Formats: sequence, C-alpha cells, structure tokens
Amino acid sequence: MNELKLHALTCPQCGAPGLVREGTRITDCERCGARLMLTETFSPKYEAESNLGAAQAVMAARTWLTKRGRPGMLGRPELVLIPYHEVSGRRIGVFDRKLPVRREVHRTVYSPQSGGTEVETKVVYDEKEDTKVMVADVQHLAPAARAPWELSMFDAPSARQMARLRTFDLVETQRRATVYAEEQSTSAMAEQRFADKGAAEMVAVSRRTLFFPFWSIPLQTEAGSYEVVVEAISGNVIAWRLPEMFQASSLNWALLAIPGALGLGQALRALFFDTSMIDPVIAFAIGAVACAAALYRSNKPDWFIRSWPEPDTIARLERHGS
Amino acid sequence: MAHNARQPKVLALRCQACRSALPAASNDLAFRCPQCGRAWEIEAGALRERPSLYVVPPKPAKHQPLYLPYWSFSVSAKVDVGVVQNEGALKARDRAAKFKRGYVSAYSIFRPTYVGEWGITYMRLQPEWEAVHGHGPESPGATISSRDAKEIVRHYILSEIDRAADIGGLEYTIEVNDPELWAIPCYDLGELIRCPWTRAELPATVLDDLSEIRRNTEQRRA
Repeated sequence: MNELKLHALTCPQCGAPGLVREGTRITDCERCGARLMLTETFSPKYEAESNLGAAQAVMAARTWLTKRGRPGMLGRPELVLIPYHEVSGRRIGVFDRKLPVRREVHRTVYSPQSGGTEVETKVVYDEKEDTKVMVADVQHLAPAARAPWELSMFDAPSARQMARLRTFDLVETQRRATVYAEEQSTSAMAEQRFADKGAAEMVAVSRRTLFFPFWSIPLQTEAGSYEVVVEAISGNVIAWRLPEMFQASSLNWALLAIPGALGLGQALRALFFDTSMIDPVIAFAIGAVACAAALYRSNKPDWFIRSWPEPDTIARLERHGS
Repeated sequence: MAHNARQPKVLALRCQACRSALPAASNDLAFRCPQCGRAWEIEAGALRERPSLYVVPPKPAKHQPLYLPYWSFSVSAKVDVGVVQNEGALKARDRAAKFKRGYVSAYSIFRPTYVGEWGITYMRLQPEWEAVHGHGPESPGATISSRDAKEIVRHYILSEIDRAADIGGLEYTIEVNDPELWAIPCYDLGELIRCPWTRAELPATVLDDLSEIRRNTEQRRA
C-alpha cells in the first residue's frame, strides 16, 4: 500500500516551516500564502482521469462475459490505481551513416546455346556516405508496481495518449481508490533507458509517474469467486480470473490409475504368493502415489482456475461459451 | 506516514519585477507573469528573466484563444556553396537563408514530433506575426528549458537543410541567439486544439497539463 511521505521545508519568503507531500512540486506557504516550488529534480505524479464510471465498467464486464457465455453475478467494482513510470524526451544528434546505392552492371558474354553473345545484367550495391540529422521523440512507459494481475494486455502507450492527466493527490485519491505504491524510482529507470545511446543526446527529458485507473469487478459463479478487470480509460477488459474446464481430465486420471492398480497388484502378489517380478516396496510406493493422486483429483470439482489464460485459451473459452 | 528530514530546495514563485504570484503547473520550468507579462525561467535554483512576447491572434477570432508557450530564437543560418555548385547545395543555401526565427513548443505534449510539433511548422512558415512585449494574455508555463530548446531548434534547422542536400558535404554556420518566451494563441475547441493560421489540429488529450490550464483559466475568469 502507498505510504504518505512528507518533506519538511522552510518558506524562503517568511521563514515559516511547512510540510510537503512527496511528489508535490508546488505548494503554498500556510503563513504568507506565497507559492513555493521545489526546484530539485524529482518526478511529478499525475493521475490519468477515468473515462468510465463504476456502472459503465460493470456494463463493459457484463457485455464481455455475455459474449463468452459465462454466467455469474458481478459484484461492486473497486477502483485501483497502478503507477507507471514515464520517461520521455527528445533524442537529437548528427550521425554519419552509409547508404546502399543500387547499380546495374552490364556485361557481354558468349552464349553456347545460341552461339552468339548475350548481355548479362548484375545488380551491385555500393555504399554512399550520408549524414543524418536526428530529432526524435523518446518515450518509455513501464509499470512501477507489481499489480495483482498480469498487465501484458494493457496497452499503456495508447491509454496514455487517450488519457487526460491531472495532478495526483494521494490523500484525495485514497478516499475513492486503492493506490499501489511505486517500487522503483523514475531516475533509476531513466538511467537504465538512456545509459548508452552513442552519439545521440537526450534533451528535454521529463520524468513522471502516472497512475492508471482500473476497475476490479468481483464475479461470483457456481465454481467460486473470480474477478474481471476493466481498464478505466478505454473500457477494455485487460485481465480476468475465471473458472475454466480442465481439458481431458477424466482420461488423464484414468491413465494414472492404471499404473497405480498394477503397482498395488504387484505388491499384493508378492505379499501372498511371493512371486513378484519387481521389488514389492517400489511397486507399492508407485501404486499408492498413483492411486492417491487419482482419488484426490476425482474428488475435486471439474474446474481449474487459471489466473491468466494463454492466448489460445481465449478461443477455447469462446468455444465453450458457444 | 514517513517523514523525510532532508529539506528540499524551495523557491518562492513571485515575479521579481512586480511581486505578483506566478502561475505554475507541476512540470513548469519557465513562467509568464500574469500581471506584467515578464517571463522568468528557473536556472540554477533561481529565477532569471527572459524576454517575453505574445502574438496577437488573427481577427476576427472565431473561438476562444488559448495561449501556449513557445521558445523562440532569432536565428541565422548560412550555407557556403563554394565553387562547385550543385542543385542540392543551392537549394540548401536558399532554405537556410529563409530561417530568421526558430520556434520550439514549450508546453508538455505527448510525443511532439509524432502528433505534430507546431514549432517546426512555424519555423518552416516563418509567419509575419504581430508580436507584442509587455502585459498581455496569460499563458501556461514552459515545461522545457531554454537551453534544451536551443539545441532542438539548432537540430530543426540542420534537418531542414539536410532535406535539401546532405549536410555532410556542406559548409554551414548556424547561429541561434538568446531565448525568448512567446505566448502564441490557438483555439480551444474542447476535444481539439486548432492552430488559427495553419488550421492544424491536435487532440486535446496530448497536451498533458490542459485540464490544469483550463481549470486555472476558469478560476481567473471567475
């Protein structure tokens, strides 16, 4: 959970002491009212405004579930804010490079078939010196906290482009949402990203932390409690935990029961007739393990919880749904 | 709740000339005083004055103008074509001679060269604007430093010359003079931001601090 960190400061105008929350760059002096700015390098925090209300999120989840034929009761959605570090800037530089230039070389050759000559054409690539001026945008977005779900289906750059940003206020935000804390600083990320980029120079570098909103909606089904996560900017379902059929379970466990029965049979045969082909202790151990596993699995409900289905599972889910 | 004992460096955001409070968003590095129109940039932990101008919007204004900050530089670019003159070099010389002023958008924008950097457009167009000193419209602060903007504008000019002829084979000189903070108007259409001169449009969401700028503008109007 996010921790509220405070920095002490002194107003340069009236000398009054004050406190400022981490991530806040601009504050007002409580005594003289002067607007104060923290000039040290730091990363400001922004919250991406949610385009989706709770009811709209539930509707999006319901539509998504209906398409897949998964019945269930959707519970009260919870807004979750996950931090992402953004490091952006412009890469500028002048580079020398070699460009390939295509050239055709014609040659007259003797042709034994026709008895005459033919013109043979060969393509040759020469290298040409060129100077390139680079002015390019650089932007990196990476999750700054371990989310409770896999975020690989969340398209952060697109969400970033669509999102309206506002200054992040931890106290206000925590009243209406669960806020995850950042685990890595933006400076560390910037150093990793821009460590060795040759002759290019990074200018106008901006580091910030963006909190993206997600609706986590509990789902009650016959098989238990599950969850659907809706991204609150575009309304896409980006993660889910759903009950899923375990493929060919009966056959797998029946096959496992066969060596179990054979193993126990060998052990009993050794015990009563003293005619075993293998060591009766090993046979008993194999048989006991296989039978126990088969019995254990047969007593479980025929559902298998996959916290993150593979891409091919989506098609399988759709097949089951239809 | 954790308390950090180390005190951060703090700067009082007041206009050094008229003592009025400077409006600032969280990412800003330079500001335009709403009272006297002077521009101030944070440099080495202190406020340094920069020349400040604003551009008069075209008349009649069809929509409510929203002023955005740009770093503007008086520039001089020369390409020496030498004795052996080829078509590309002559084109590069003419193109370089065209640039009198360079612009870099100083507001916080998401991937500027991808969504549309109006600074480079204005530099190509070299518009004849009526730029006025002193008290004028309010404008949000600049989020990039004038030093970075100077480097960017130099590379803008280089890339423009390079489009005419490979700069590797050219003798050229580029002079970028001191920065000026300009407030250039655009139209705020709600979902879009439109340039009054080129009619180019940007989605409003790519301007990071737009919601904060709008909120501040409404507060001031109220």
